[in-house]
Amino acid sequence: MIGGLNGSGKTNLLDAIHYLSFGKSYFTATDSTNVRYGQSFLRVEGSYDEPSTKVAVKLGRGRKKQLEWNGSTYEKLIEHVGKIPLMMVAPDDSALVKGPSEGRRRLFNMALSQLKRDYLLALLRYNKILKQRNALLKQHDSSRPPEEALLLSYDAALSKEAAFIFEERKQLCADIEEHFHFYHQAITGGKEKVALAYKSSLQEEPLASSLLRERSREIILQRTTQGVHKDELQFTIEEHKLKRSGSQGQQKSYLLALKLALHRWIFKFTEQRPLLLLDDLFDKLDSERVKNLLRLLMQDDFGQVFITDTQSDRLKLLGDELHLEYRLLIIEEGKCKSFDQEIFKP
Amino acid sequence: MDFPSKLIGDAVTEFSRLPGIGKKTALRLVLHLLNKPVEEAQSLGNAVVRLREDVQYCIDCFSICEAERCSICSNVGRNQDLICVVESIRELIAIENTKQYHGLYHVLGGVISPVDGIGPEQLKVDELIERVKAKEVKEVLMAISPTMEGDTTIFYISKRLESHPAKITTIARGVSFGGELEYVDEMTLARSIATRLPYENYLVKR
Ligand SMILES: [Zn+2]
Repeated sequence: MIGGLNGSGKTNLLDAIHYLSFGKSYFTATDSTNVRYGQSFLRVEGSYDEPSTKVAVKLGRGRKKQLEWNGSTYEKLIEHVGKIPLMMVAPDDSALVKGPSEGRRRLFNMALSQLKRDYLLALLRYNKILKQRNALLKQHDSSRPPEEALLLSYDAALSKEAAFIFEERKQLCADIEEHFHFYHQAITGGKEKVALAYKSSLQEEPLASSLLRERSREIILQRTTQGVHKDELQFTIEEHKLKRSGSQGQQKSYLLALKLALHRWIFKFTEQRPLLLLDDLFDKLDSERVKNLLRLLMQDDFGQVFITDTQSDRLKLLGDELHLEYRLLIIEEGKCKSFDQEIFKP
Repeated sequence: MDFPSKLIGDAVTEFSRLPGIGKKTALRLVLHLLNKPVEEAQSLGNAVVRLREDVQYCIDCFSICEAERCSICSNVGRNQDLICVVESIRELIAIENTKQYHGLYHVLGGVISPVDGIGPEQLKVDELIERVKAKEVKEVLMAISPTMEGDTTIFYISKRLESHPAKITTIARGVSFGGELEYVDEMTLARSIATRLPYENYLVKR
């Protein structure tokens, strides 16, 4: 449990843990913004018990990012993804409900990539082919269309990767459904009826056929309009879109249940419990739901959980009331002010 | 880095423009040349100048040569029914060094990559198609890097040759093959040419 006022650096600490698992920040895609203003580099180090290892990330301005596992540097960062599985929950997640579908696909990609290297590689290839195909469409228009044989070459390559990505996403959705509902019920007390649906044009036909059908439209629009980069995850509550009809608390509960289900899914296949990071525990949740959540985490043995809150007293009370095994750390102005030496065991 | 003489400075600058040569290595090369007879430096300089000024491309395969047609294309002893398609002269040299290949070549000049502004028209693709059709070539062997761009290029060329009876093959590109063609040792390369696969099989196997 990590207590500290707003701006004290609690989230930064969680993001550092995220950095060690993914080699990047949870919040921003641009690495350079993670380096403190006026400094020339960043370094994050972490020691782990299971598996027993040390991980370090080094990033210097204008230099290639390096990730180390027990002192040896990875050739490619993607080799590290999934070695220290992790699931993060943050107030910013509300964008997953309200924002564009890209964020929801990224959530699925994040879970699948931690478990399956093949998925991550297929996704990287897909994005590369897509970029080439879009560049080709951009360089032409309907008065001077791209050569059909060349488009067909990209269609074939794209369809092959898309078919694999689609199957994996579909399977993931089916795999987590039961746990998602179970966790949602546990957090909310079973008051709301929710559903999760995966929508992809590949459910109707293989990508190669839809690309062929949309040929003239894509040439006019000068971009690829079909494919798994257009997939959607539909979040619904009481048969309405969660984005429109869910309250902030309902949206938060939904996302929590979804992320816990993904956590469980990774654990089931890797037999390694992902670290669970809950930034700002009371964000959009009443104390009843917070207690439900914590009870659930204990009951279902979620492994190591990092929780932050602005009020350390509240965390302590909660820990004692629910008989949690915990250690409290208090942060002030980016520094650790106090730290329980022992884990408190009820 | 500061130098006591502008002559040394200029030479170091020129050498360090070459790939894989840093300022330190460049300085070592320059000092080495200064210790050698002047003729050695002259022959190096002349070779560089002639390379750029006299370079010609073979009118058949687009390899580099001194005459209109390269020594491989003009060698009637080579198998005229077989053309090996490579990205650049680098791969041609690697394959020639295996001494296991006796057909002809076709140097594309790269792979298709619209992101880099390279389409089929920037490469010698049309010339390849015409050559295969005109010369009634029986087999086209694709020796192209196993990258996404390489794969697309092979697929595209095979599409363009669909109506032609020429057999299309690719060199075996298993995991052991790893990186780009030029880094593969001669033994592996020789073996992969000997055990080349029909392109369709290659697609299925992946
Ligand atoms: Zn030639």
